[in-house]
Amino acid sequence: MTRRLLLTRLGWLLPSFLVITAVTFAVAHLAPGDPLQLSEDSVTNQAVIEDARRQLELDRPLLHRYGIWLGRLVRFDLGASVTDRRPVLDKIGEALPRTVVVSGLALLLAVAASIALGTFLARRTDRLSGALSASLALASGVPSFWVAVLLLLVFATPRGVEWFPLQGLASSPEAGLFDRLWHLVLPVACLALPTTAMLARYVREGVAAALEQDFIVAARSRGLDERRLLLRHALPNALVPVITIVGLQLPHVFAGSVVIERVFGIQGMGLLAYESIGTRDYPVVMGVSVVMAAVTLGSMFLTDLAAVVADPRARLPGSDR
Amino acid sequence: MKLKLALAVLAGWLVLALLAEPIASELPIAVRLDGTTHLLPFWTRPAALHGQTQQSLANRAEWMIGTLVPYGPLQTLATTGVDRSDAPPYAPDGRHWLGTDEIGRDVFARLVHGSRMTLLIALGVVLLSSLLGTFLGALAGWQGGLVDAVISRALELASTFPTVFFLIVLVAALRGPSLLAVIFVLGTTRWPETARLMRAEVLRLRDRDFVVAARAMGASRWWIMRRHLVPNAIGPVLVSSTFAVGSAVLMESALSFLGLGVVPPAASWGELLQQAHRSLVTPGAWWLAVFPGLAIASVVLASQVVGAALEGIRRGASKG
Repeated sequence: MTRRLLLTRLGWLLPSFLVITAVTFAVAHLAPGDPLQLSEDSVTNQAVIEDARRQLELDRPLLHRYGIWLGRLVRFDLGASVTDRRPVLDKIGEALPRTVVVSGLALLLAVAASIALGTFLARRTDRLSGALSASLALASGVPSFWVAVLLLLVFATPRGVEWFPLQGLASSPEAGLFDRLWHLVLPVACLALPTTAMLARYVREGVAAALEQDFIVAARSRGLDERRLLLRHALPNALVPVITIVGLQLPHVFAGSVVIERVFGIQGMGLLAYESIGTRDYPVVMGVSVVMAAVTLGSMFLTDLAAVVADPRARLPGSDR
Repeated sequence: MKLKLALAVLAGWLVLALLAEPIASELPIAVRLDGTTHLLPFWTRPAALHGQTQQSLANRAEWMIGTLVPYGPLQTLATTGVDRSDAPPYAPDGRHWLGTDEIGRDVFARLVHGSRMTLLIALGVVLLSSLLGTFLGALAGWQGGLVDAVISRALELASTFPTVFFLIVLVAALRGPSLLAVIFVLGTTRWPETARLMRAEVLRLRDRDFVVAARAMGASRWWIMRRHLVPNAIGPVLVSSTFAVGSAVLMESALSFLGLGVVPPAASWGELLQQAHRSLVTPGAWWLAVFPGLAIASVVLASQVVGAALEGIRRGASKG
């Protein structure tokens, strides 16, 4: 039964969350060095270091520290960054919206573009569609950051044309909406590219398979026009599996932005994770991992839910889905 | 036709990777200096040639058989004998076929030597993840019950959890990047796909007559898994491993691009792209970005074509 399946899924959420955070906690803390060794002013006095270690509870056993961290987490206390003493929640509060905007837009763009492309390609076998298929295959085979570097070379440096900004998300803190959108064009396009290429393939295969099914032939014989046939009958059927793929792709788009964020100098979650690991800033690393775990588990659960909502067969009693 | 081209591309890169030194090295293939003949000095590294380059040997040696490209991957402007008034990076020309980077290193030499690093990592990653995935997948499908539930759930988590984030944390924990660390780190993220395929195949096979017969004859579970299930289920795993070569190359390049892959100055394709990104500040050096990217794309696309062809063969075989 569907309800039981969803309940089981719900039951797995907490253990999964604990596993993700515990593994991250252990791996991050097993890394050699700690924040105090890496910061400049602490090399002088060993006693001061020991004192600070005790204060940060770095001298306690790993499991004990994980327990303390969990205890604080349930009170929504993620602690403060070791490097600049700012609350982790503030840092995440700054970085998260940037990443959500970039990867959210990228995912939307990828879904829209891949549905359009996939549907188009499913029905045509001419030169144009062949060329499009080939370029989609090419797009899935090149690193997205390479595309980003090339785009920057062409569109954002003096040697090419300087149509787009090289770095950042805005020219100034009080920049207008247009300026901000302008800064988003290249990062979003680069981030969407590999996902579009992958999704379009699924949509194309799905639509092509759906168009060959009996109910389509029957509908066509009743005199339904091709357009309606495609949009109302074939496409919805083809999109059910795509929902699952999009849902499970979301965390990757979210985190895949780390490379894109680095290329375009966007201070988002990816760069935050990258920099905090470099300085062994454990509270920030763990804060990011909480967000990553939430995104992962949330999209897994919503994907299950969406599959049930989208596919009426899954709601039938006794169905296994 | 397409398949032949893809196989040729892969074979070509393998040859380049294996023969990187005879193709591009600072030392010649053979040289006679001060009455002794040195054969393949780039592999034997004789003390007499320490610090020498083909450019410095050109005047001193009696005779010399040079390499195709007379520059090593680490050879900088100071020793390449290029005498120009402007500062590097230099655009591609007759001397440096693919140009040089900001300290005058030959891009072609770095690309060829980088192919060895990148392909070594890719093959190591595919091998490790296939072994891990085969084992866990077979275990889940064969044991069923709680083992299956836990492995399946771990598989789902591992394939959905953002790889990049996990990689960043793991690389930090492994005392910085090294060749083995990179292979280990990437290998541990690729196993879910193999495991999923293996599990499905084992579930399909476990109740077939030959397995039941083996069981009835008293074969142990481990024996059945090893001798009957895994060999019969390995087809899809091999196909996915072929595709995995491409994605491993992509992942290596992303990791190196973040500065978490191969340690500079050693070259890999991702490291070359990182260089290219850094030199965006001295714009116009398109050759730094274009050629390594093309190399990556060629391997990824070729492995996809070969994978698709293998998949076709497998489907045809299971039908017939």
